[in-house]
Amino acid sequence: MRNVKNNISKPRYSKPFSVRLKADFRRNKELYLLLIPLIAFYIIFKYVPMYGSVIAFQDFSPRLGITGSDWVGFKNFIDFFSDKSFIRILKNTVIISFSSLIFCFPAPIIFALLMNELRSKIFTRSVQTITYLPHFISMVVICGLIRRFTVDTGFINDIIAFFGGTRSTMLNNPKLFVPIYIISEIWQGLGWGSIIYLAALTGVDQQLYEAAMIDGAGRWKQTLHVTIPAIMPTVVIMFILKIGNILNVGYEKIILLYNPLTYETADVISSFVYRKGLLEQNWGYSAAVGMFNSVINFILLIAANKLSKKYTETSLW
Amino acid sequence: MRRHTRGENIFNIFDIVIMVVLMVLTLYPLLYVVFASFSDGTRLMRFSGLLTHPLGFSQAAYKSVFANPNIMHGYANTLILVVAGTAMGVILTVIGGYCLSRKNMMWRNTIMLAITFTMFFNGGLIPTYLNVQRLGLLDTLAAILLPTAINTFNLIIMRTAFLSIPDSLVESAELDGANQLIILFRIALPLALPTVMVIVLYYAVERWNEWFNAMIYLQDAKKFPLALVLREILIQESTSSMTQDVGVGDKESVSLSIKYAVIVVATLPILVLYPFLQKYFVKGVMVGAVKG
Amino acid sequence: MKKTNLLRVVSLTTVLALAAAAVSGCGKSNTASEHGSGVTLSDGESVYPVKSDDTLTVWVALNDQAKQNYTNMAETPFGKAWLEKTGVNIKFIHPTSGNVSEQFNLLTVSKDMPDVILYDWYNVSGGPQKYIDDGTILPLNDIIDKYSPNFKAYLEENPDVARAVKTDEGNYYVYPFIRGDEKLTVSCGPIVRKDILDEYGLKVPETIDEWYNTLKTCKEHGTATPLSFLFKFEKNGVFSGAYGCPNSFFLDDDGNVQYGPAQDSAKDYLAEMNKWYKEGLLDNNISSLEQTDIDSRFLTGDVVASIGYAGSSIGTYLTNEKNSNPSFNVEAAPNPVLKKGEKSDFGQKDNIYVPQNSAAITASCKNIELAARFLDYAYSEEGSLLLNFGIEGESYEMTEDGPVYTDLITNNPDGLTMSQALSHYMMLGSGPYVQNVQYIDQYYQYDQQKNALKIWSDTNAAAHKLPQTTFTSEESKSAATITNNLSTYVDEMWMKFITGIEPLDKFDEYQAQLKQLGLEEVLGYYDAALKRYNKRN
Repeated sequence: MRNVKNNISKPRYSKPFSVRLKADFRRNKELYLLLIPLIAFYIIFKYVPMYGSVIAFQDFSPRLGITGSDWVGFKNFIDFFSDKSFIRILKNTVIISFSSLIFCFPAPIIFALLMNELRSKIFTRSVQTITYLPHFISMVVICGLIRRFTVDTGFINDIIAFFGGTRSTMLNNPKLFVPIYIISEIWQGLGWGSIIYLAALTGVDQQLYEAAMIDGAGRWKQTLHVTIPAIMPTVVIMFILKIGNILNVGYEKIILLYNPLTYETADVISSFVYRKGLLEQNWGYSAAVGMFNSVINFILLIAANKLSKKYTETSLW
Repeated sequence: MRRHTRGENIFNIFDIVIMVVLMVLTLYPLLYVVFASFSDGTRLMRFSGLLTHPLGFSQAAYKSVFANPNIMHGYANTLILVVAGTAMGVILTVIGGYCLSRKNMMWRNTIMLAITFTMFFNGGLIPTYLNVQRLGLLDTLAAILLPTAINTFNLIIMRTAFLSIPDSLVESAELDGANQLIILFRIALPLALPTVMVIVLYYAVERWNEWFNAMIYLQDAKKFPLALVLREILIQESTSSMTQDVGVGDKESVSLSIKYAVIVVATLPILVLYPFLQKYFVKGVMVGAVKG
Repeated sequence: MKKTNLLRVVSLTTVLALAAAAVSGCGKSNTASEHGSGVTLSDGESVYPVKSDDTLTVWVALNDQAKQNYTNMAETPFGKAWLEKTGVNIKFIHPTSGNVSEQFNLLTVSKDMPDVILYDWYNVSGGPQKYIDDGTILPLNDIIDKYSPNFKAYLEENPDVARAVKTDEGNYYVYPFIRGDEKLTVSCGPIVRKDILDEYGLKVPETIDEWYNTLKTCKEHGTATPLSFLFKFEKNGVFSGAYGCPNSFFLDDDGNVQYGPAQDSAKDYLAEMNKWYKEGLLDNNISSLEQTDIDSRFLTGDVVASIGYAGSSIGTYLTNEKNSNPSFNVEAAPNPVLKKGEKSDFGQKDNIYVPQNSAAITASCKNIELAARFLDYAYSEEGSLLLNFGIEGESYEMTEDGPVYTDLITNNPDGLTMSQALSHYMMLGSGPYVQNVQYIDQYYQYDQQKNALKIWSDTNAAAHKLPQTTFTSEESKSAATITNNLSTYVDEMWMKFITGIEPLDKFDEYQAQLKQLGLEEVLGYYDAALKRYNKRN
């Protein structure tokens, strides 16, 4: 066994492709066999329908289908890039995404670490169980609450007025849209997002803590040198996946919160396509925008993965 | 035992205060929904602002929710979908995640790349629908279960967890001649159990909330899952209003308290799942206690 | 040994998945198998119940109210009666609320469509003629001639309707929903808290100046936000209509198509609204309101004037306050004008033909005659009674004055609201039939609602409403894009002008920008479409 492994680990010089192929299959037969259902799933349900992406290059009509619709080359893409709103929605999308990356991404990690430092088991359980609740309340209701909190007669304005500020409906202010969006995002996703890190925290070897304590490390040092390195692979993978989502800002929450006064900061690619889709039903165009998003996202993901592989040894492939 | 430093005491208080504030903030949406659902419909309609208690007390909303035949069908269907979907998803994800975490597979990275690719590129609604139609799955629960059997995101999470298991453990088992399934279930799975439970939770919640595929693939309302029934009641005037022809919009809407009652009825059962899974995540707490 | 185990597990997983697929696939019943046993009738006459063993599939949205108690239309008393009276076996398929257009598009993709689809066939992308040309739905001219004597008679008696429900090429494409009376085409307009106005000694305002003074007086008496309404209502031109600039396309006095937001008078309108806004008469959250925000404050008196529906606003408010606040009173106000004594040129008004839920026969239909006869029933006298009033002796009684709903509908013993009860016994909302005017007089239970219809109907809106023209499929794509860009820009700029974020000095720039977005081009499309419409015979 050991010998086989050593051969595989430096195959570039030693064996031709077909030999390596055979050796690999002989060695990992069981693994490949076990992967059959998974591979079958991805082929049948993901790759078979993928021919549909070509409608991005068509003037697609559902009635005519892919074979019957006219080909238009890059027209849908050009239409999108030359739209008057293109710069605005791209800018807004990137701003919201990066803000989310900076604020929403670390929040559950910090939260999980803080929870890890709590002493009372019952208290910890209560915190967990309660903070994950907003994830389950439907978006329509959550956004209704956000509106009620931020309206000029609402709770937040009561506080502002108490300290002598002037009341204003915050969702009518383009400057406040992104902060409101981000803060509410944290509010909704904090507890739910922390679960994955909590699970990772349970895997930390207790001996490491004991060793650290013997070395005289305080809790801060322990966190820094034991806890964080232990959950780092999970953090890195989540970060890579998040990078691969940078142009995807969902439309649902946006359209529930924006209004004509905040279009200039709130209108993003998905809400723009949503509005267009409702009125114009232009399938090819939506597909083109989707493909644009995917290509950019996928490139970013590959880059992030490469960097991560180089510096942290954690990677998707 | 080491005594607490002053800094640590301050930190402890700070930690607890933050947690309490977060709890209040995150509990409120649910409280609001519950308050509204028990409120007197007449008074609720007149109320704008943030509820701090039910306005009056009325169970009328719940009575009419449970009189709705779709809710009961919905419960049954959702239960089937959650149990079957979670079981299938977790089994496939655990096996797949394990295999793809093994380091000496020549095709591992190619497969990972191909799988990740599907997170970004897909055929779109129509080819996906036609595919399901060709497989003869239309109007069956399988149409909801199979096309979303594996969530790639979950697969990646699961694989990451298996990757952090020391190679030496697996290799020594291999030397002992154990086959891969035995290694997976005897060695890898117990070590990655917290992550498996996270995956269970993710699949269960995803299945519980899933409505889009049900809407696309199912015709018979008796097969609808709860999430779709809920959505039908909630959606009536929210997002569609922006394109609706103004004149034709004159229809009586479902009363507010009924909407909130539906949310409560459709959300509570899945909330109960968490405390059961929670014990797998709280080991860290014991570590903390020992540390003290 | 261990290898066989492993193999077994792998194959088991795969087989399980496949088996699940196979089993569920088999469960699907095939209703088309009894094809071809229909009984042919003579062409002109229809005799109901029709004798046929064929089953038709009909795709129709089930009313949201009915959904609270039923899962399928065939289970409702109305559905049962409809099938029994026509003698046709129908399998109803209901799309779910929301995302109906996605479900519709998937239907038209699959080669096996239902026999009849109830949908908004007028607003489908590319226009209805495109769907006929592509072989999705059937042109109905011959079918109506042969198998739909009742509908044919109706079209002959009502040439205006006949013109509206066909394409420029002269093809009928649906069995439409028709408002049987002008009175049914109006359902919303301005509303005021009559009791509060009375208290302050104010009359219901008619002109813009009167509106200003009324709102001002209320503000002085301490009303928080006197006027609040959903801004989308300005598409009908309620306040903007007074200035001749509704937020939509309309016909001017010479019969030419115009775009309201591009009119010079829009500047005056926006200036006035900006004044109201600054003085706190107009809700300062006007850009981000939802109906519930308005409902609650209208009921508490923080808002005294709004725009609402006769049914879901006036009716709902009166019912809500009936017991707890008996002095509460809401009345309709006329659509405002600039000069006293004039009539508004705008205000909400539907076309007679409402495209929602109109029935097309698809190319997949296996028994066209049966479908045509089934749909035609609704346009007969007997069928019209069924679709409007339900079952005689159960949901209505015939009196000298016509059909009258029974207590089962108006005062339901199980505590159902009237529209819930109606949804069980009739085709509530819209559907392929001619709506009976006697329905609305009974549906509106309060005098305030009945008055509202009279007040709101008293406009010249009909003369300025665009008829239901259709674009060619080339025009429609470009027109949709331009219209979408225009309306997004107008929504944004109007709000900025009203709230004062943009000064009105920028109005010229704004008008120029509208031109840049392709206003002339889209007006040209409308003009051409209108010419074609007028040439229809």
